[in-house]
Amino acid sequence: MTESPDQLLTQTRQRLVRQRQINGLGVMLPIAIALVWCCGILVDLLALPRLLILGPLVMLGTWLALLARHTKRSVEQDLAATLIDEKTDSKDRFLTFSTASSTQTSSPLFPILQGQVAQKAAAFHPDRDVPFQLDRRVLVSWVGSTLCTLALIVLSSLFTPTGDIEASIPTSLPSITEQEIQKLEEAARRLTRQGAPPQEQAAGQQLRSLAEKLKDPTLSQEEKQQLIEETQKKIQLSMPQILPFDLKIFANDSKNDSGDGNQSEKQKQDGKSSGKSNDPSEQGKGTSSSGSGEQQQQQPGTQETKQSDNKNQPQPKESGGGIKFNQPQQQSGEKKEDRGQGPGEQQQSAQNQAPNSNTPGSDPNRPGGQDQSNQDQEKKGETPNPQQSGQGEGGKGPTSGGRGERFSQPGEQPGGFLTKDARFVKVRIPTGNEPQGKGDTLTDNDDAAQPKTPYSNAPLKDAPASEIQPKQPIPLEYRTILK
Amino acid sequence: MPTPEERVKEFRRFFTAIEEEVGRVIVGQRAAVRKVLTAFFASGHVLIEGVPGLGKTLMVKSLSQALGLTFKRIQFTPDLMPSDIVGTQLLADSAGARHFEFKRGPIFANIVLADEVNRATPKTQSALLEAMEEQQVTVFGETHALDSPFFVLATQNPIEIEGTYPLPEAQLDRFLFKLIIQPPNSVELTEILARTTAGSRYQIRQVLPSDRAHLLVEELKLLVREVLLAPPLGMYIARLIAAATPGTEQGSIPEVTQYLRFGPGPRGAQALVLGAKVNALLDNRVNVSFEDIADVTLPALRHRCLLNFQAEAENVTADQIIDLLLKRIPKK
Repeated sequence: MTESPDQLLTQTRQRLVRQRQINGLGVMLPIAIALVWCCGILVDLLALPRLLILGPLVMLGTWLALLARHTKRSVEQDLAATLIDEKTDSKDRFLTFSTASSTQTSSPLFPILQGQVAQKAAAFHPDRDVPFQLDRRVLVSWVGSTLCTLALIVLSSLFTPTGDIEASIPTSLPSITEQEIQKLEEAARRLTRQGAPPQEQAAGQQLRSLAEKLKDPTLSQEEKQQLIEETQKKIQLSMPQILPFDLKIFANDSKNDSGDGNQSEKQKQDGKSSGKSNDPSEQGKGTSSSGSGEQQQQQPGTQETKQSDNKNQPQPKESGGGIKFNQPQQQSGEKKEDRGQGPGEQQQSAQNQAPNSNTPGSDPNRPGGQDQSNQDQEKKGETPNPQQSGQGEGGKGPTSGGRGERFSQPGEQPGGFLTKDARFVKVRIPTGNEPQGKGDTLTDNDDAAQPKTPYSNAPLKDAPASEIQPKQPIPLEYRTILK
Repeated sequence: MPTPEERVKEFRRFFTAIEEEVGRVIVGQRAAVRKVLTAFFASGHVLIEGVPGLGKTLMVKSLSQALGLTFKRIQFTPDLMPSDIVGTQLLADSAGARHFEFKRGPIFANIVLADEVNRATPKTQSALLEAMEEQQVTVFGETHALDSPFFVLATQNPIEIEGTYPLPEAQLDRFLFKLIIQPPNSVELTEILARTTAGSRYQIRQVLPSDRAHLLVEELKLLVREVLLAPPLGMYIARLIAAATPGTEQGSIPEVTQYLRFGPGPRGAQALVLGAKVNALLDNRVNVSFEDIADVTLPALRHRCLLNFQAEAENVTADQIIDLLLKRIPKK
């Protein structure tokens, strides 16, 4: 069936418009998908709200609509006419026919043109002569968009800004073992013993109920952790002195807090010397868990753990009172330990702020028990010589040298108040109520004056720069002469 | 009254017949002959450039004989005066009364051959300006219309430059086409020898009927102007002309700016359209195509593209620039 030139032009134009729109969509679609995908990746990466993806989507939709409209307009009649001219070798007859103005249509030659166009139109079939051709740009667009998206995915996995933080966050909470629950029950039993103050009784009850709840297998680790935190808060409110002691066994960093402090606490509660324990780290944690502001006393104990391999070197041990020197060489390590013992540090600071209410001596509610054990231990350190406390803790006899030797400078006597190169000196005044332990050398001086403030923490002046600088070594040839 | 189809057929028939008739005398040069005829039916004039002895004069003379139109030949020399071309007032004595009478010059003819037009002075050359454009001459304040059809065919010799006066741009622009006659090849030369050295010479037969030759030529010229030109093709011609004009930032090509002093003006575009229309009729079409335009671009624009010193120093020709234009200017 032969169609008129006008119909032929319209059909051809429609086919061209459709072809262009499909090709345009084929080019734009992968770009749009890649763009939205990349936006999603960036939104996830930067933790932005997901609604931001709608922005590019709306823009792309508008763009595609405008593109479709522009394509429809851009394909004018002359384009279809030119295509027909090329296919039928009409030498621009269809072009002239389709774009003829009113003046030209009134020309006497225009009917000739119409006849020639109609004759040529019979040889043209839009379906056959205007086949759908996939634009090469479509392939390029798909390949390019895929590559770009893959590249962005790879780059985003390489450069995760929160990767370090995420890596530091534990993926799962530590599981609470039965052994830890037993320890908790044991601690509760100690607190609820006969003659214990009411606050400790209440704390013990709470710990007991916590232990029972923790036995519930239906509770998840998160719920158990939440219960622990709630109980911890309650006990902290009622008895801030004894925190964070035994609940520390459930702390996340279970490597350092593997429940040893509970054991040490038990030893203290039983009035035994901490020297029964052979683990120096237990001694330090047990002391720290007493909640009487002995955080800094725990630090050497922790240090002992680190230095336990080197047995030839004398280790400063001070679980009781005495003097602690903060040497510059140990400062960094001590600071790390301080961070790990955050609650204890808070406890100490709270105690320092309100010494009258929290000191063992001034608190009438705590004549014994936890603080009493601490005070008993502090009896060991009533002499400023830290060797004595170390002796008691370790369960061994007094060791010669000890801490004095460690901090002694050439020419100094061991055991003295070694303040050289120290930034501050911390003096703990013994209360005299400390229980006697195995191997103790304390005197039973009950009439000793009870200080209101058991701690003194006075900063010292920095050493002169000339003293800090290393001395010039004596030449070898003069050493024998000087000897 | 012939129908449009019959008019188109008649045009093709006459055109082909004239072309064949001239071709019987002029060996080769068929393209030149066709272009001359194209310019004739497009109501234009032709400037032919070629060395002596290539049959320029013979071609024009044969054309006039085939058309059955009057023919005059003017040999331009340096001492030629304008009055020698257009005519002058002479004192005449008739019946005892003396009066001035206009003596018509050789320009009063249907076909005028201005041989070696560049040898006359610019003053004399300018005598052709009014005649070529307005088909009239003014002598002593009196305007005289020229015969119709009026067709000027000027020749110039490119090798004898001394003592010549190159045509000014204004006069060059009045020529529809500028044709360059190429020397014949050996085959053509053999044929020329056979035809010109034999005893008998071929006598040109008049193709157009002698009684209505003038009228028929005017009708055919009118038919040419009725040929349809699509607006996209008109825009293409405009782009082509604009691109060939130095100084126009839009659509120009670097070579135009580099080598051209002046570009074609509106007369160049008109020449393209008219020449293309004649080509369309010859192809049995009533519409202009891109091929028709490309076919006449070179003769229509080459004398309108004035080269600068750099182009002459580098032996760049206007034809090369036009070829670049045809290649680089998009058709759509």
